[in-house]
Amino acid sequence: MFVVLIRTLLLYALIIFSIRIMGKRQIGELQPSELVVTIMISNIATLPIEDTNIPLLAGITPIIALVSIEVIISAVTLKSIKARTMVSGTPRVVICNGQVNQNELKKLRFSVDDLMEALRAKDVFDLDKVETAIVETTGKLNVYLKASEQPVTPATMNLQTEEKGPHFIIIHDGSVMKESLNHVQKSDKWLQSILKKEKRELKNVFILTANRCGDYILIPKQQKTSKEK
Amino acid sequence: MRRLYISIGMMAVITAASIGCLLYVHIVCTESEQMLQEIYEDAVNGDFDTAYEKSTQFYSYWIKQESTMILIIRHYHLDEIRTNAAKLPEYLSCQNNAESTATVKTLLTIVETIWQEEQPVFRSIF
Repeated sequence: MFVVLIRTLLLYALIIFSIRIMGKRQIGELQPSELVVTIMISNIATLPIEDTNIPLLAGITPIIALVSIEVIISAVTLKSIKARTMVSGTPRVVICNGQVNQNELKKLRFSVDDLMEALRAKDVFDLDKVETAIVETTGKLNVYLKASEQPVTPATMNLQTEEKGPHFIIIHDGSVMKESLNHVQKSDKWLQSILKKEKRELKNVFILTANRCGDYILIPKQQKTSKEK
Repeated sequence: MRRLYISIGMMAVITAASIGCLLYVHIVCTESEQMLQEIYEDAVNGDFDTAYEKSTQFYSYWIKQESTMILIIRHYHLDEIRTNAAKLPEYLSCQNNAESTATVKTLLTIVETIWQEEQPVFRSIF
């Protein structure tokens, strides 16, 4: 039993390493080749865990090989459009100028029900509202609404807006995120001045978020109750 | 780019290690076959003392190789060889011709199978 446990831990570490090597793309939407590798890795990893007759290397070698091939192929597809088309395919326009492209739907083996379901997932319940719909290589449907159906934005209203940038987490549970501080273009001095202004010590801050304009939100740590103490 | 270099490096290591393993298995199988063939001939010729000595040599040789072979080949083959190699000196010391030659033949077949399974040929791939 202990052998199985050790094998499981080793393969778990290997799979975490593999996923890290494959990068963040792997965790989000999967391309066909990535899907194949993910399914194969999960299957291969279980074999040497279950069957101690199989050498551990017989499980490790294919996993490392698959990950390496995947990274090499993704590097090749980054450089070559032909390779990218071959491995991942191309996005397909299923609705163009408000017209459903039936030939494309047939090629994709996408039924009308599938199309409507994918549109509903995008909060579109009426085909008339769609100007363009594209099935991406990941199988996800992306929709571009007709101009009359587009949500109103400050730009469409010709309103002047200030670009403040998003909020980044600057302090997380008493620890300063230096990278986030760089993102919002602020210094340690600025952070110290905020803490001084709020009369808080660094260790007592649960979350501090800020944007480039210097707007911030500070949430202090909750004091422990006598029971917790 | 770093990921790409790591991947290319890992592929190179895997390829080199696979070739290394193949050569290692080939050497061990060839040496084992030679030793077993000699034991078989001695047993058939009735020279049980020499065959006994060689069988104990084969057993200790196999025990040494097993620690590396366990990383490469399926473990049940190793268990079979270890069991049969342990029996062989006993059969030879009792001058049991039929049992000893049968055991040597079994060992030869297992060693052959190991090498056949490792070879990157049509039969083992498909």
